[in-house]
Amino acid sequence: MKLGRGRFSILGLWAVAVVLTGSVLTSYHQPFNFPAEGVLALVPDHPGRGNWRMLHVLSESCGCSQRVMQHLLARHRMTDVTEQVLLVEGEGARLPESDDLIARLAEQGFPVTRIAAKSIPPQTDLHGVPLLVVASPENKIVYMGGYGSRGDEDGAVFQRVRTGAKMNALPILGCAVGSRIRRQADPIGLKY
Amino acid sequence: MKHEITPYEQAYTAKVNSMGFLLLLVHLPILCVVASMTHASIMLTAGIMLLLLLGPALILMQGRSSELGGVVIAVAAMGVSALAIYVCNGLIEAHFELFVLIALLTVYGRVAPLLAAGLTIALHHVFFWLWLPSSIFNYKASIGIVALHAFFVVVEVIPACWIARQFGKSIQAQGIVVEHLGGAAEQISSAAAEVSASSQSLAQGASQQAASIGETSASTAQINAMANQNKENSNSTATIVADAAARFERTNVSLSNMVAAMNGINESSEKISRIMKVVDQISFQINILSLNAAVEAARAGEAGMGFAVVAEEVRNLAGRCAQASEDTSKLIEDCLAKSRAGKTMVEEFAVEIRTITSDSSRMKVLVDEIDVGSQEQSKGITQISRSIHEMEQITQSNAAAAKETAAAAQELTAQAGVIRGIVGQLAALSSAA
Repeated sequence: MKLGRGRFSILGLWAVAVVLTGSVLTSYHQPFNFPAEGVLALVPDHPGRGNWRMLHVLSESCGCSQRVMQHLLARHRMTDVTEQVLLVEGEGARLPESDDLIARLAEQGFPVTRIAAKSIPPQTDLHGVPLLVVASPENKIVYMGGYGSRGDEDGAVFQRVRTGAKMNALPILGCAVGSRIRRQADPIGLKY
Repeated sequence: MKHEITPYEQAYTAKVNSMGFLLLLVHLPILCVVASMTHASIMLTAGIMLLLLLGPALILMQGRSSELGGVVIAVAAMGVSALAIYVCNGLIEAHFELFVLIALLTVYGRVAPLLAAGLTIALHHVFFWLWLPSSIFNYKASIGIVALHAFFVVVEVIPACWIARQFGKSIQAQGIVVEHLGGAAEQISSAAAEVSASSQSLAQGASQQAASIGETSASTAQINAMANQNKENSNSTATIVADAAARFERTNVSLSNMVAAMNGINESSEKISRIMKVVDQISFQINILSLNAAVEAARAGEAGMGFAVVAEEVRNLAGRCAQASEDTSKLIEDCLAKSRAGKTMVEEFAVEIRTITSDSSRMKVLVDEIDVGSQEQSKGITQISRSIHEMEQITQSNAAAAKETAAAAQELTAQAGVIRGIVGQLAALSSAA
């Protein structure tokens, strides 16, 4: 059975499209670069100075961030550490349930700070969320990375770094922050 | 080596193409549900899924049994794997689908779909490695790492290609068995039935022929016995004829002697006749002399009376002698006449006897020839009888062979039926698979 030239050309274009689309889709599970230490300065004020500090950098338009929010709600705020939530507001549409989740986080005592993606200084190099930052009582960053594949390893990370043990940062898997980075990461607009 | 694609293989390819398309189609709702759970874009997922289904749909519209269908479905399957990885937010376990789908492609029984899948996934990795902006992503992998990723795909694809080739050969073999062996079994069955019928007819004819030859052999034996009897009879006849000829020869000699004797009798009779004439003449002269004596006695008177009586008696004796001589002469004449007649008859009889002797000699020659002919005939009939006996044995052997052939043909028919049954079972198994 012979294919016509037109149909064969369509199939060829289709195959190229599949390869390119598959390449882009496959790239999405690659981790983002780690930001600079200046990311901690995005939330300068916190009530518990001199304590351990955990900063959860999340986004309302990111599914992975929602998973972290659900985890935080499930485990409740830890008492021996100051936890803060920094919501990066970008151009993307908010996911449903985000408002509810954020409201519940606030109810549980998580201080939520919002920041527009545009206003984040470029030198911060914040590319993707969710991002977990753990700082010592001396306000020194001891951990900066991801939450693990299920978005629930922040507690384990904190317990380890608190004892002074070294650990490699988990990859930051999630969503790009800001339209500029999104265009860079997804030039044909497949994901964003 | 390019082989002839059987209708069975075409049907199999059509079935696998359809099942492959359905498998991809099932991903559409499943990935949309997963997308809703992972907060990925459902519209984007559905759109990409429809794009991936476009190629297989085009091929299936062209023809469900298209060999290109396997390649297109393989490319689409790798796209579906990439989509699944995306929808699952890069979940490591989502990569398993890629390997599962590659393994499933072996069901085509061809290498091309597997190579297409391997090439597609390799291009995915190479392109995304080139694609990723290093300023954003923490992807420090070298091309070596990418090659390592590809290595595992190759590790699966190479044995999968071997398995697919073996499976493909099995499908080809099934196609050949179902398409050709079934027909061959039908032809064998038909030919065997014809051979069986012909052999049975041949066996029946050979049996009848054997019976006829047996009857002919019996008749020939009878003829042979009669020929032997004729030979013996002709031999006896020749002996008898030879004895008769000898006897005729002796009879002929006796007849010659008898003729000679008859001639001697005739001569003796003629001599007697002449003697009797002499006696008659003597009687006549005695009569004359008696008459003279009577006359003399009469002249002598009384004295001569006695003499006259004697003369009378002499005359009487002469008369009686003459009468006796006359009677004897008559008898001798009669005897002579009869002797001549007898001689004539003996001579005629001798001539006949000689003719008979001559005929008997000729008859002996003929009888001898008949005897020789009978012996030759007997030998010929014996040879014919032997040949007929051999023919009878050969015919019986042929009849037995024909019966064995008929039995073998029936067995062949049964075996052809078994082959048909096996082909039917294979076809049923293949259609059920």
